[in-house]
Amino acid sequence: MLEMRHYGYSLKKSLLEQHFEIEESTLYPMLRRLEKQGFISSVWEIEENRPRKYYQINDEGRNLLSGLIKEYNHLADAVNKILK
Amino acid sequence: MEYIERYLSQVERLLPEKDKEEVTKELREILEDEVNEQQAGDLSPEKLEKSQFIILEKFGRPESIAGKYGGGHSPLIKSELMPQFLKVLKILGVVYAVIFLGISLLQGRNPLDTIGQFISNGLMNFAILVIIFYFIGKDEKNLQKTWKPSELPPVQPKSDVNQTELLISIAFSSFFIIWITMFPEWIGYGYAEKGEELQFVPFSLDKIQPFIPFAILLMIGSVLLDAFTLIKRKWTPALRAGNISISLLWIFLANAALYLGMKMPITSLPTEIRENFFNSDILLAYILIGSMIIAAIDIIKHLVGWARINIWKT
Repeated sequence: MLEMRHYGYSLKKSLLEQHFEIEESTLYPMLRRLEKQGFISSVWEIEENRPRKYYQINDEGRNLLSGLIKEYNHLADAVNKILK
Repeated sequence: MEYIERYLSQVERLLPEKDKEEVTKELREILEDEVNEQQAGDLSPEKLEKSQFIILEKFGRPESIAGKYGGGHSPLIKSELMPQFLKVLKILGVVYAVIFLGISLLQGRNPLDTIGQFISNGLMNFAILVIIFYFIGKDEKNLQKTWKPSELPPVQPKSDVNQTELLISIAFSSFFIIWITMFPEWIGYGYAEKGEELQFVPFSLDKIQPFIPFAILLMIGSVLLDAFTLIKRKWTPALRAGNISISLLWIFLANAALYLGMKMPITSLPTEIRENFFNSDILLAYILIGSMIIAAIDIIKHLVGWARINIWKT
């Protein structure tokens, strides 16, 4: 999702469009934590006379993401096998 | 957006100093976006107010969001409670220090034992406080008590006073006043010859004795000014002038103690050090010079603080 640049509210809307509902008080602080941990980068820009903070995933974040996707697929395979 | 500003002001109060500006800016952007969306093009004041209430209720109590944004993390204390925990810790820490040291001094205990007990009892009290907050955090009902954005207090004028710095300054000065008044023989340093045990060597304060009462008076003045600043919550020109005067007097007094008391003017120090690398007098001279540097930094800090408000902002 963050391969494209997003500001906080636009990210929430994109997630909602994909039927992924997340509480505001969870999503926004989480973005800040990910940024602090170095997995996403941010930049402030002025848009329509208002400052906006844009977030985007960086290389470290991509590495983490691919690791997490592998882990998730592994777990999903295991669960599928049990269900069969 | 009146209620958004009220909310941000409450959140900002609870954030760590380094995060205040960035998080408030970020949160303002998000909240305004959310409110605009909620208004759905209806720009009437009633709709604006209602939209703010709906969004703020969704975000939750200021304590909760401040905790999630940077109030610290601990496996034992919920992030929502972290700002209150740190506040209570700060206040109880100062109260504990004053009461414990006061009682110890009145009972005439050995200062080294007092420091040992102060640390061990302090750690125990810290653990008790953590346990109390752990159980408060377990009480979910208490955390989720209904909260009304309409009850948010109006935005207070910003305080440029660093409360932690002032509290530390008051505690340190009070401690030093008591120490130098009641136990001057316990002011010294540890020294060990090669292979020997560390020994306590008291400073010989005879040479600077006439200056000590004035130093105590200046420190009392400094404590009173700090306490008054804490109550006022802002630096007024009079408070800045008071602090600058005390720092100037301190520099004057420390210099006089060096020059007249110890017969060791600053210019002679390099020769003294060459001739006698380490002794009690030279160490004491260094402490006096160190205190003069701190006082000079304090003067610069207040002058810059005053200039920032009165010159650079106009």
